[in-house]
Amino acid sequence: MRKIFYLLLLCVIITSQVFAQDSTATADKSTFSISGYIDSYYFTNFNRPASRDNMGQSGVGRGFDRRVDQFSLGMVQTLFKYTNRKSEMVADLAFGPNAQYGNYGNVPVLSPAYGYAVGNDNFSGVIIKQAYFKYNATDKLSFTAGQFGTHIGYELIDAPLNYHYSINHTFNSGIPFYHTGLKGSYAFSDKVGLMLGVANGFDYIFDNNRAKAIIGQLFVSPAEGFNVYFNYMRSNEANADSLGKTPDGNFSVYDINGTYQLTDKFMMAFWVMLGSQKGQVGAPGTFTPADGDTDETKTWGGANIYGVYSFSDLFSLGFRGELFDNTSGARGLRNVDSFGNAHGTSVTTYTLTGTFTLADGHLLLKPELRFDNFKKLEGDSEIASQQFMDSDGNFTKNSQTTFGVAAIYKF
Amino acid sequence: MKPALTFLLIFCSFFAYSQSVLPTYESGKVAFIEVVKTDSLGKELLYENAGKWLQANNFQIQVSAEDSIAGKWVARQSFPVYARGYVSKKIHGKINYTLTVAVKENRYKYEFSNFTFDYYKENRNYEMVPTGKHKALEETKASGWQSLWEQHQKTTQRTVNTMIGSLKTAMIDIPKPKTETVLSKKSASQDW
Repeated sequence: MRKIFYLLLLCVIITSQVFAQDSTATADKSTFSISGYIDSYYFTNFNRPASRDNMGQSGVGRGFDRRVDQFSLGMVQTLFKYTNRKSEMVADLAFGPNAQYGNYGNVPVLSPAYGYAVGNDNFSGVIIKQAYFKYNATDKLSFTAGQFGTHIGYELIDAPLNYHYSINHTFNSGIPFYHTGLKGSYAFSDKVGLMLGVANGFDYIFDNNRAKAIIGQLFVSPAEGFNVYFNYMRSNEANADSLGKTPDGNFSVYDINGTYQLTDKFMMAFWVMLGSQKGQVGAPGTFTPADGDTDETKTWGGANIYGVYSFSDLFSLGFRGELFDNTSGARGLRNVDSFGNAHGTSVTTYTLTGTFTLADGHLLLKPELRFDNFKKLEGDSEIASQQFMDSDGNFTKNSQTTFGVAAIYKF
Repeated sequence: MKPALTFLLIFCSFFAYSQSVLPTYESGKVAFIEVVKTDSLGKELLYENAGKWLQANNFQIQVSAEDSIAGKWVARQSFPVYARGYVSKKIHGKINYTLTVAVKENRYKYEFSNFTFDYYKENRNYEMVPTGKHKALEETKASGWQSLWEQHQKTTQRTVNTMIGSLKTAMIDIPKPKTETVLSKKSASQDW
């Protein structure tokens, strides 16, 4: 018995040393990883809207932080990744309300529910957020095929990858979420890279016509800690007719975003985008302009600035200022007047977010204060036609302030 | 008594690995410094051996003409440190450092110094990329990720000690003299 006991003791000591060591993976070794995150939030809205949500009359006043005065589940992400020297496979499966909204052209509902409704967050089954594989033809050239997140924009669907918990209007209403297609990437160096590809369009599991989208990205890193991305997409999102022919249409997005780590404590970022459409549209994620005029080119744009100050490894504070202009009415962020007519609108947003990093970086707690101020519809008849709901259920507010805490656990 | 002693041994085995002790120099910075005596090895041979070892281990050599004349190599390198991920590990950052090797007759001095941790973050393609943010390795605190920070310090200690062992072996390498092969026209059966 004693011999067994001391043998077990020896095993415990040896095991404690084994788990204290790290080994370095070799470059040629294949690896399989499972990672992901869970996020949830609790926010309150100082307008105390009767609907208990932040969505506004447009139905897209917020992205993933929709409900107020209740504990809400955001998304559960499970990312399966296999990598070896020549290839990579990613299966990004998501569950939960925000998974559905982040893939609203990819879920079993008849049509996206826009307008005043808390749309597209009532399905919690598994959703393919991304599924693609990559072939490394050489050390510099690779090809990726499948469904992948958009290259456009600064903010992302994945909560741990954004500094602010709530996504801004530029992302929520201005740009695509994902593409299904084929792209090639060439790394000229670690400071310059180029990506070109073709896709079905965006935000739809199928293609609603025969036309294909061209996507592109140029990456440059002028200095250490300074990264800039130039992004482009051009597509035709018109529905094919009964004979399968594609009507004329043009949907384009131009985008520049960048980050700069000025000091070890302070980081700045910027994001500017411009979108345009002309002609017919029809794919999920596109909208007939508010005035119904598809012959004229409609544009929309967003400008954002970010700053993050790291007080310590434990706590940092970030600020975001945004201007999103959809006065052309091309996108879904709109006002509806007292006659029921939709109008384009514009909004300025200010967001202050803190981040507490705990549990070796696994747990992020993000208290967040956000102020949205929409363009006001003028006139006595429009008193109840503003963007946001009040406590009586009337749309009398053109601004809203929300405050709460989000919790993100990543593994 | 014996169970108490046993418990104490188990406790100590964990405690011994929860403390990180990196050597520091006069400035308080982390540095591994040693002067190694090598009998009968000249300055030129030591300099050549050091250069070969640096190149074989993929160091970024930054030597200037003055350094070369003075018999000194200056190089930089980095190695990844990992966070524990499920199924396989994920890069958490990289440790950068400078290695200086100075040679004189019958001795050389190595100095591993300027250790910094480069923060990495995940990009939209789920690749770990540098953020441009750094942390000096002599910092003892890492709020919110203290145990991981101590693990990186231990990894640094082990990695550098391994490099030192390899360097020391390489520095005393004496090239073997070339032997000439003489072709003989005589038959194989002839006594040589």
